[in-house]
Amino acid sequence: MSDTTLSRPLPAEDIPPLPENSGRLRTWWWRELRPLLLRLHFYAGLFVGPFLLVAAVTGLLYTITPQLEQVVHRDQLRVAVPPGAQPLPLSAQVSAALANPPGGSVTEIRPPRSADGTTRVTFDDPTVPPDRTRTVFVDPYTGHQVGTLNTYGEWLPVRAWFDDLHRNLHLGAVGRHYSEIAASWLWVLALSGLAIWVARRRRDRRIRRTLAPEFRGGGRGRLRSWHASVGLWAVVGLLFLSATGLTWSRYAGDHVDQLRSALSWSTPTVDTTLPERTGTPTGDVAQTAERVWTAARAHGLGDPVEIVPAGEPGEAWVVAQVQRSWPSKQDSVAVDPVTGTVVNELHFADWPLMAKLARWGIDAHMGLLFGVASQIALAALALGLICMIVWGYRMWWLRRPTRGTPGPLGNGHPRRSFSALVVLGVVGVGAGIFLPLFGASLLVFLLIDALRAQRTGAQVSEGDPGNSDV
Amino acid sequence: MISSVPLSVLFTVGYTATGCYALLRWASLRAGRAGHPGDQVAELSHLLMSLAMVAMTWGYGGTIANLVQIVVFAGFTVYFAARALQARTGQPGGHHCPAAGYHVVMAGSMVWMVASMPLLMGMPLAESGPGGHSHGGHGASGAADAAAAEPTPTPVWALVVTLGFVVALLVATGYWARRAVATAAPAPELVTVGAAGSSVGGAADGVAGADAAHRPVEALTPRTDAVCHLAMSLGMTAMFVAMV
Repeated sequence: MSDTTLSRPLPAEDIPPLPENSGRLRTWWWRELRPLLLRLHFYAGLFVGPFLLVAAVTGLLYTITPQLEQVVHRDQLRVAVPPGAQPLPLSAQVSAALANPPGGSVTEIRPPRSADGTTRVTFDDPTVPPDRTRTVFVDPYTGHQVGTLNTYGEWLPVRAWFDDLHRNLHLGAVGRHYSEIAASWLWVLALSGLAIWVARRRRDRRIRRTLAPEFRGGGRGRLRSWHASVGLWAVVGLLFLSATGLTWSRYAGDHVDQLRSALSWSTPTVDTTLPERTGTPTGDVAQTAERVWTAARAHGLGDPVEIVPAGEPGEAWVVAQVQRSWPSKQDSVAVDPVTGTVVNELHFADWPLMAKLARWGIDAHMGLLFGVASQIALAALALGLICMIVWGYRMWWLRRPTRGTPGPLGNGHPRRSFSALVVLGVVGVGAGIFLPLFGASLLVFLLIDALRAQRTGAQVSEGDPGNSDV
Repeated sequence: MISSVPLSVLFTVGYTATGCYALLRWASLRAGRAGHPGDQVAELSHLLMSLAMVAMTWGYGGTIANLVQIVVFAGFTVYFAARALQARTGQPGGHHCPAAGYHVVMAGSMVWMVASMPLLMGMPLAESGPGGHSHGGHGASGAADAAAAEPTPTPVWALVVTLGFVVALLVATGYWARRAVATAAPAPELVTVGAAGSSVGGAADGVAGADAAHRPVEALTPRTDAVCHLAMSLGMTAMFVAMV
């Protein structure tokens, strides 16, 4: 891309001559591909940086939400345990929720996860937004309702708020584009930066200079060493965040789902088909919930679980484990609501490998997989990314062209590599099809670049001696 | 989506070839190695159009994808119209393609093709649902199913407009066929930046210095350009016919 007005020449230390016995691939890398990657990394960082910065800051805030939720909503999540008291039967607890229910029908019941926890009964209340539900919290010892909240899946309002902030800046479907652009370009920046930094020519103290920043000296050299060495240590984490983040995105996520489905990598669900019989369930939702929960526990399904009523008449209820921290517990059983018999079961151990990896990846991205350790690691990644972005812009500012100074190569451009452009073009087209917002933004960059080249060329034909293009 | 599999394969092969050609041509212009003047924006539009045609052949897309295509190709239509006007008035930066108006027709055809597809094929617009899954750990929200609907007859006015584009594309096809035959086999002469007498319009995208090692670049000649344009206009014509 044209950059005559955006940066000064590379420092001399980065462009020593190649040894005479350099191989063809090495020569191609240094003379053709690396300059192009450097330019790509620069432009992508410059224009996508704001999106990444917002994602990193909101992600950093999200890392504290597990603890924040416990504090903000402790009245709904915790109850005093009377000495020697036993919890009421689940049916009584659910009946307590049904005594004064929100609108809609019961979609999920979660027995308490701990002795001082509350029981949750969730309703698909039509008065709340489509992606939200209404959850009633019940004291399992007294049967009293201790609160009713709008919930987003299993998240309570405070965590849902930070979730929306990170995901879409509270701008709904339109806002999701920002996070998808950030996730779509993060892997490009990470890999291009890794290639540029690791494959450098100076050999003295190479390992030290690659792995650690410069503590002495100043200016761009020291900034670059900090930017790159932090990036090097964070690259695996950044690639992980990019890959897992894309599974949530609107367009790329759709392609991920299609790919997983085509390769049978989708998350399996327990079969809720019931054997043919006559008879209808006896008792109400509360009694049926207790019946199926008892059956699931007798079958060996340990807590914590969620109990999901049948989606259609004649289907089984599902009792599924919901532990997302390591070791993950995601076994599920389908229970006949009439007879209380387990008719099907699905063990997490039997999931396809990719489905398990997807589960672990999602939980790791959300800081759930390894508890506080996950949260600390994610916070460190977010802070590292924020610092890299700030250092990157600082480097650009220090290299900005000032009046009278030439462009990066005097009055002309270095010759660009046809083969490197073709290689990156093929990769760009492939990635752009799978990651539509990456493709769209890349196309915008290229069009702007092409228009600038034409404008500069038009100035040349008018006799302007100061600029020449390509 | 085209119901005939052989025709779909033919479209796919053809537009994959034109897309690859456009990518090579764009890279040669970007690298300053082009053997003859060109327009990077035009080559990017060729690449995008080729991808869009392959997607259209196999029914990939949805409401949002269609809307984006309409906006993008409408933008290209305006761009090429401006370039054609520049060339006609002799201003610098005029389009190098000798049939500047052809690109206006082509880009406009794409806009019409995407916008009119439901009308011409008698189907409702396909809905594309939201992707991904919720952070709350629940299952993926499913895409909305396209409502089953009875095929609707194509309005006469839509057929008339389509016929107009078909005629224009056939004329363009003939033009490019003549150019492909008439263009002499070239020796690559690259345009020198800033040289006096650089091609009309002046926005040269090539630099001096043919490199014999870059055979793909040498294969990109005015004749191959004409063949590529011929293939694209012929393909567009065939697609319109297949849709009606």
